[in-house]
Amino acid sequence: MTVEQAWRLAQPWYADRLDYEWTPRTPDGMERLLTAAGLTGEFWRVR
Amino acid sequence: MADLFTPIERAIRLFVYRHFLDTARPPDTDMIARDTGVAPPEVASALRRLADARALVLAPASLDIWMAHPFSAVPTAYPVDIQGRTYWANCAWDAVGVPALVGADAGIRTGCADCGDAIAVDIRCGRAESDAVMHFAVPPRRFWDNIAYT
Repeated sequence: MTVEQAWRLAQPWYADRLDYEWTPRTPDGMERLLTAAGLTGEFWRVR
Repeated sequence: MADLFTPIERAIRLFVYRHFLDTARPPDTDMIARDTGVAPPEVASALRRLADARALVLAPASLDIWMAHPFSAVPTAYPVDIQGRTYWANCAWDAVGVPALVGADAGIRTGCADCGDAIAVDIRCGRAESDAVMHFAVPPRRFWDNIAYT
């Protein structure tokens, strides 16, 4: 992926780590973020 | 639905992250117990439970915190400079994760794992500035097969 894609993905992925309520993302949640960053295709599947 | 973590586990996880944020280093179990008021045996249980849930990574056979993604407890090839403090990221992906979490401009200076060429990434005013691309040798569904290798 490009650095720009990684940066776009990193913000929603990491921005909530300082939230008390944070929990690990579900596979569905991860795939939504990856897709929103343009990372689709077999390699980027999380299941 | 039952909460995945207890209040103690949540408090400890958050303390670990805030300690990394403030110092670029992980807290040890004494610090965690002292700051959270949780007894050491419960701190140990909570750290193991957080590690089992992949909220933290402990060093093998240890209660030492090794990773609190995107932060690494040990120096890596991915230093992230934010306002004069150097954070260690676990990998290239985590290197952009550090400024995303901190919410600040950052400079990342590393090298290509293949050819050794210098790579510079700057995060300025919410934008990433770099010509580099990231190659992922491990697909996301295999990241946790061996998180140290990933």
